Amino acid sequence: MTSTHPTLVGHIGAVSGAGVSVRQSPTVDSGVAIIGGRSYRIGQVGSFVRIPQGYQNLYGIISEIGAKAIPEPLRETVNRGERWMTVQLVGEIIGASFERGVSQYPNVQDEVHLVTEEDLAQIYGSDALGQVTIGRLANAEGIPVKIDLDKLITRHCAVIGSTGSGKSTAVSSLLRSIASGSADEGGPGFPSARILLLDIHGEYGTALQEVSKTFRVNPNPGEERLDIPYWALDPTELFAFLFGRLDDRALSMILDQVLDRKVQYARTKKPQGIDVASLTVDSPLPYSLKQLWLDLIDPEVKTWDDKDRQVPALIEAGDAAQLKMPKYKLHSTNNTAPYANHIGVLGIRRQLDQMRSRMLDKEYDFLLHPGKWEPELDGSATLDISHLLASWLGHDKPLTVLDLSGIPSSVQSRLIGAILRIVYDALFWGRLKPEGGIRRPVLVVMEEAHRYLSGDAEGSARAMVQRIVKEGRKFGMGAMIVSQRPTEIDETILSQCGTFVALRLSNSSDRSKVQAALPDSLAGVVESLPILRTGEAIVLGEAARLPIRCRIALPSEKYRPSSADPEVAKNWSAKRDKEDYENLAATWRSQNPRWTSK
Amino acid sequence: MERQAVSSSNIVAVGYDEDLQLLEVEFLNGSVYQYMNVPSVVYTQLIEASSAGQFFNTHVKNAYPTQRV
Repeated sequence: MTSTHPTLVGHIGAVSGAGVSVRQSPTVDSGVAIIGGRSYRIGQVGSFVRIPQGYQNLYGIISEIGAKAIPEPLRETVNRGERWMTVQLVGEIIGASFERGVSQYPNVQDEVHLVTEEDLAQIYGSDALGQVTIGRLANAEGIPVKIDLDKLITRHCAVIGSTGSGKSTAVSSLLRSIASGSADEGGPGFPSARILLLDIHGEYGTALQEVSKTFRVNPNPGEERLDIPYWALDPTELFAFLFGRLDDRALSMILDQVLDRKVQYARTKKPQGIDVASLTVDSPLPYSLKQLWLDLIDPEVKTWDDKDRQVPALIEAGDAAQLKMPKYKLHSTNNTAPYANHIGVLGIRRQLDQMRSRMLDKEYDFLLHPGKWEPELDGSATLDISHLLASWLGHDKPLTVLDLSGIPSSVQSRLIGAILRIVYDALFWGRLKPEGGIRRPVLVVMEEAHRYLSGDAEGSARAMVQRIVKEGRKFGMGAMIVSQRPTEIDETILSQCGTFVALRLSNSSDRSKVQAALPDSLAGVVESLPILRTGEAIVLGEAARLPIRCRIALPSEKYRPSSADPEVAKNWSAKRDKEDYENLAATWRSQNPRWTSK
Repeated sequence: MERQAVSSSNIVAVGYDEDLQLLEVEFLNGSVYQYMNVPSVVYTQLIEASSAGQFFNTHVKNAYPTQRV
């Protein structure tokens, strides 16, 4: 008789929509079943059950157990000692492969069986090309969990979880698994992957060392210097940073000057692909910021020796290279010589002073003095934007880590916008080229996304990411949003993420963001988010066949991101080393955590 | 820009934008002029001067670039 089959857990009592009420069989009252030498716990919320229907098997997830699972009309019978559970149908296996959705409903009194590891392997164990192993099933660690790489990238994804839930470990494990195969499975991985990681805290450089190339403002040995040439930025954005508030008239005059310089450059250097007639101020062509500064400040401070304003009352000429202001005689106030200048004055004296101090500030060297990308005073630069793209996207490693930890946080969100713009524009226009996004898709991983993708964040990062998540699919650009505060992330962006990797989330409003991405019948799965173990995640959405609770594969100790919590108790009870606060202060001043005295 | 009335024989009111260092002066005949790169201290002196018109004539009028609004 079938009722003695060891995997039997109960019979269906009622069917309604996607939900099925199951009366637990008295044979499994102990709560444990031993099948094929393995013991299974029966009736765990979130675990799967199988409902055989002749040739096909329906699969469902247990969402509720106990009194609430009893169908309404039977509530009175609870004293008979019956146990009930609610199961949400999720898919079926016809023949060999698993598919979402069910083609027929089960009927009352149909048998409900426990799902064994063999069954699970059939659901999750696809060996088709393009599957990435991200970890192992939480309640059956023998089974690797694979997700669909194509969907993960083209439909975008979000990795979310409270601080300390294992987010950065999960991200680095996933990226490593993509780049070089999974840690415990081996496998070839995807050596030609192109992943750009915006690393806000500088955690990933060492964790992904041998599969990545790291760019940093203060590079360590083996890393490259991070340069973001100012002239590749949207000039409006750049001037908002350099000048602060500016009235519209002055801004448009300055933009005209920048355009003139770009046209001049295009005429003399004749870079490929530029049509002078259709050149705009946004075109990524170099111009000298130092020369622009001198040319702008001159009329502001100029005085004249004669009333017709023909003879400048110059004492000492300015010097663009040194950012030295020209010196003029002080104007008089009673309408005698020297006369104040009226020609070409924009009234931006204060703004230009701020621009100068920004240009002298070492913190902004990566942007305003970008190494070989810094143009000479005549506007010619040693390296072009093509070299920048090649260094970020064209090297031999699958991963590029842009370590933004050395960048002042006041400009971080603007710069992220600028980086995304450079990459987006290049891939968008170059989509048909062998280096473009269709032939070599790019995944952009954005750490701490709530900082620059929130509704009120300044800078263009949010607008850029909105474009990527809406249109990136068409030319091979995917986004991975990593955040601990999904509530703060712009609604449009989050709703475009097809796949969620949700780690432990305690905040209920953050949880509701994940819930919103799920059909109602599976919402129960999300309720387990606050009690996930560290490193455990629920993967749901396009890339996962089913909402999966899994343990992310843990990279070996040396490959973990350097964001592990400090060991307070251990360090507070340990004997103290010799301390030198001069060193601490010097490190602070140098703004380089790895500073050492010479 | 909000302008503040001053007592003077030829100026009605003055306004100032600290961010843009822009001084706006409204004259009795109805015309409004903007003076650029004016430090905030000059503005303070102007509105505190016993005779705004006189201060304006000696310290602002010919000293800063101007445009009519």
